[in-house]
Amino acid sequence: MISFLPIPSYIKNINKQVSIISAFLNVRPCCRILILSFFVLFVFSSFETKAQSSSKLAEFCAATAGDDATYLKDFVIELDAAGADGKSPEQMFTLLLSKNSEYRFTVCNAEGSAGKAIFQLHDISKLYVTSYNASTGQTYQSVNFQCQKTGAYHLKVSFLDGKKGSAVVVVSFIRTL
Amino acid sequence: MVRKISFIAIGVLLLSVCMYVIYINSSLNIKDNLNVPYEEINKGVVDVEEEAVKSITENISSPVEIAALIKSLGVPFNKGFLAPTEYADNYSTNYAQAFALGVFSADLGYLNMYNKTGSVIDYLSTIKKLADAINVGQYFDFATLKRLAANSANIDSLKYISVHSFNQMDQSLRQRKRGNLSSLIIAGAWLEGIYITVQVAKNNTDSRLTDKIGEQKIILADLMTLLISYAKDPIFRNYVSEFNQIKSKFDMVQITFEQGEPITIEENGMLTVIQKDKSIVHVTTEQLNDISKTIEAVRERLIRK
Repeated sequence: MISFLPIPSYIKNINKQVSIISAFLNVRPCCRILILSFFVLFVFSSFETKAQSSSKLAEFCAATAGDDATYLKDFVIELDAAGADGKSPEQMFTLLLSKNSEYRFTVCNAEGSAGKAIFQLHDISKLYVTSYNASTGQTYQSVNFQCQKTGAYHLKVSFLDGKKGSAVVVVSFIRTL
Repeated sequence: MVRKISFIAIGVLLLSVCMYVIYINSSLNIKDNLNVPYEEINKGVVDVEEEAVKSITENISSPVEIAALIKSLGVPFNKGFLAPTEYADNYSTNYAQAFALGVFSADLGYLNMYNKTGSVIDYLSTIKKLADAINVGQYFDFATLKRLAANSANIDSLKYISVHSFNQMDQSLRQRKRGNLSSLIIAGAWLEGIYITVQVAKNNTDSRLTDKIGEQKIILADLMTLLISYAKDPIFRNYVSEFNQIKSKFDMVQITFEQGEPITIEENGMLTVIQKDKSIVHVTTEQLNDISKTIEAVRERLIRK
């Protein structure tokens, strides 16, 4: 009877890890050092690559914003796919915008990102900007916002259809109104 | 053969460990070269949640906007508004260095906005010196900035890298639980930005300038929340006390709000949203003069430290 019971996945994983460790211990010491070295190098380079790629994406996105835009800030977004409840994860940022200023919000998806990022700008009482028109299905890479009320605004970013993805939103200053 | 492989492997291992140590040193080395003991630096930091600090600091407006407003009014460039870089050698604590870093960053924004690439190098090297002193110099690509400043055609790249470098410094300080220094950079940049604005307002009565000064009440309220969170530290408390003097003058300013529905227009594929809500600043000439005098006095005391 017992043999028909499914083996829990965490036990399977432990078995897998034990076999990897024993295989590692069975190799020659010199090879062990070699494997460890590559592992350390891999971990080190992956940290660096991640930081560099988001920085490169921000730079690319700032250039995409246009010649009339002066870069102010970028927000890096990394979100998992929607869970079982179907609700799309979202990331929220708070920023202060000033009266008599025109801003541009530009979104750029990372290379290989499964999801397409969309954003909304709202304050405590109202939604002002959305880069996605749900009725037409159209998305906008950039949206300008002419601010007439100084205060805190919230930038909410998510990925269409609850997909996993990574992106950058760049906020630029356009002009004094 | 086995020995050869062992030597290579040990070599690779040593190299990777060295690279890792260099990486850790460049990004996390916070004990070296500090004039204030490390324990002092971190006092009060635990009281502020990282997310709370993040939401406050992202609220503080950029000196770029103030410089753009001044330029749009047709006000000519005035070097006399800038903080003298000679003061930079006098700053003996990390607090003073961080604060001055903010001040000179606002000056850099003003210089960049007027395309004054000739004077930029002096400010860039001062900023680099101060950034190194508080161990965030690695985020300030001085060589590239200096090269860009040599040619006024590179002004857009210069603006981008300057602002991006400051954002990275700010992020790094907060990640390394040195939000107290980050908040002083922000405070310095804010004070210098508003100082330049009040200087311009002395000879210009454009309502947008008056609005810009008056609305700083909202921004200062956020900044005070940030500064007060580190006020357990006696050295830091002095900055809070100085900024409180400015805040007391802004308390007299009234800001009211009007409601309206936003309008969306699409032109050449670009979507523009025009806000119809309005914030209205009510400030008298007397109040403006009071604000102006207090800002000048506080700035004078803080930048001479």
